[in-house]
Amino acid sequence: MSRLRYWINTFYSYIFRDIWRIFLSTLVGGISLYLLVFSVLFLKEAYKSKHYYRVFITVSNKTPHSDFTRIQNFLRSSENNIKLKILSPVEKLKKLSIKSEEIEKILPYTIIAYSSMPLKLNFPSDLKAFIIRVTSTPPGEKEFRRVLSVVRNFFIFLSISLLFGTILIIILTLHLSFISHIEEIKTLQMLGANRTFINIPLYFEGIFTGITSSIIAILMFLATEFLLKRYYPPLLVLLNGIEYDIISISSGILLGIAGSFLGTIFLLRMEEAS
Amino acid sequence: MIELYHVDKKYPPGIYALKDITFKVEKGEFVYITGPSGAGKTTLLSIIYLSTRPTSGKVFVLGKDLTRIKPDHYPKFRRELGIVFQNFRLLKNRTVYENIAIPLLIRGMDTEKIRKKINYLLNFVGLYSKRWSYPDELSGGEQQRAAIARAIANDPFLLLADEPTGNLDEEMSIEILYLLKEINLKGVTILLATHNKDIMKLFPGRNIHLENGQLINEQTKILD
Ligand SMILES: Nc1ncnc2c1ncn2[C@@H]1O[C@H](COP(=O)(O)OP(=O)(O)OP(=O)(O)O)[C@@H](O)[C@H]1O
Ligand SMILES: [Mg+2]
Repeated sequence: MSRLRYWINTFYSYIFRDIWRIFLSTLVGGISLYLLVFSVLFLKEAYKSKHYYRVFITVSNKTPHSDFTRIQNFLRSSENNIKLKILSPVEKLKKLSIKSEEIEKILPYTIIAYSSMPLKLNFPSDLKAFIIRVTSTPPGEKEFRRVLSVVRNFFIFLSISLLFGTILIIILTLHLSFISHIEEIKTLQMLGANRTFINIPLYFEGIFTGITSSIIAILMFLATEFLLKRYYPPLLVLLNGIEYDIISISSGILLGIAGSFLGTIFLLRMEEAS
Repeated sequence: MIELYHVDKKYPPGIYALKDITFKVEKGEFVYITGPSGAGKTTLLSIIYLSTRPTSGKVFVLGKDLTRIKPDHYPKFRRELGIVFQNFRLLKNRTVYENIAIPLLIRGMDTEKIRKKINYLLNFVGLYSKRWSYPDELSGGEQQRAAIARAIANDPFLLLADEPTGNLDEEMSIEILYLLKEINLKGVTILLATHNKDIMKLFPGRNIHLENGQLINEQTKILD
């Protein structure tokens, strides 16, 4: 019997209570993370719309690769300060195992060109055949404000309150389990256990709760993303890039751990004060 | 070794659990604390193991003023004591072995030493065959013996035993008393709270008798 063994046994006897609470916190946590990611994307687009002329060039997805590259090169040469964002959902959709005929029906390529000057695009005639549509928006203070207020008033508010909700549920979960072994803690105190000895299994438990919650949250996040993209493919335009997945995954784990850790410390302080 | 001077313990709304208690216990003594239910026996012991703070008065243990020990140092002080609680306070989800191991784990003793020590203790209290049982699977007397083994695991200089024979039949009570006497003979000071008069007749000893929180003249109540 070693200390570590004792702590693991204790942790094991604490865990697997209030499992439903973990799921609840997960649900709330997952939704809040999702909204947070959306808010970030919204803001990013909004800032671009403030500073750049944006031209959306819709290109047929039957365009041969070489011609598609020529279109890009043509765009790059048309203006010194141009940035291109190429949205080619075909590859992504293939990964999602949607049949390619359907893809062609659904989505062309989209190129978003950001430029500080207005663009006049006269595509060479052989390329013109592949261009389905060109729409252009000037930098708009108004639009920026509108997007910003939507983000601020709705998404940020909602996601932050949901984040608090998650932390609250984690704390409640810990509180319940804490109460359930308060007698045990008192006995240990009377036997001369110091704070560290008592707290370590509680931290194990807190962190376990946190990690479990975040892992389930992440799975839900990814599943939702998958379904959304599958049934509403244009979302690929917004949810584009692995960085957001990484951000949300890591923030989910951090949230879980931080919530549990803070919760545990908080409860132990309260208990000591009483 | 233990000195109490004019100790009061008042619980709201003004009930005195202890009133003006003054006595001294020397090293190696075996002292009964007796009195009817509610007399203040548990309260008195809990003041000594720092679970309750006296409302007024002074308490010294080994010359240390208990009212001046900072809460941070409570654990260190308690590790030097052995406590047998009135309701055992064994951890339910732990085997007898683990329960006895706890004070040693708290101390940070290494695994092999713990194993040897626990085997010794289990034999001493006669629970070796029950070492992997959980408290709920033990009889009252067995639980009591497990609690005693846990209390003496750390070789305390002072053993505080609160009703260690409560709810036990006479045979079992005598067995427990022999165990405690044996511990006492090894030099451990023992304060034993009880209202079992038969036991006191069989094992006479100094008696601190409480009634309504007040100390009634010592010794006189032993054989009434
Ligand atoms: N935490 C508390 N709050 C209020 N009153 C208390 C508290 N603990 C004890 N008391 C009161 O103090 C008095 C003494 O209690 P104590 O537990 O010390 O008695 P006891 O002699 O151990 O009794 P028993 O033989 O039944 O164990 C009782 O009147 C009890 O109601
Ligand atoms: Mg009592």
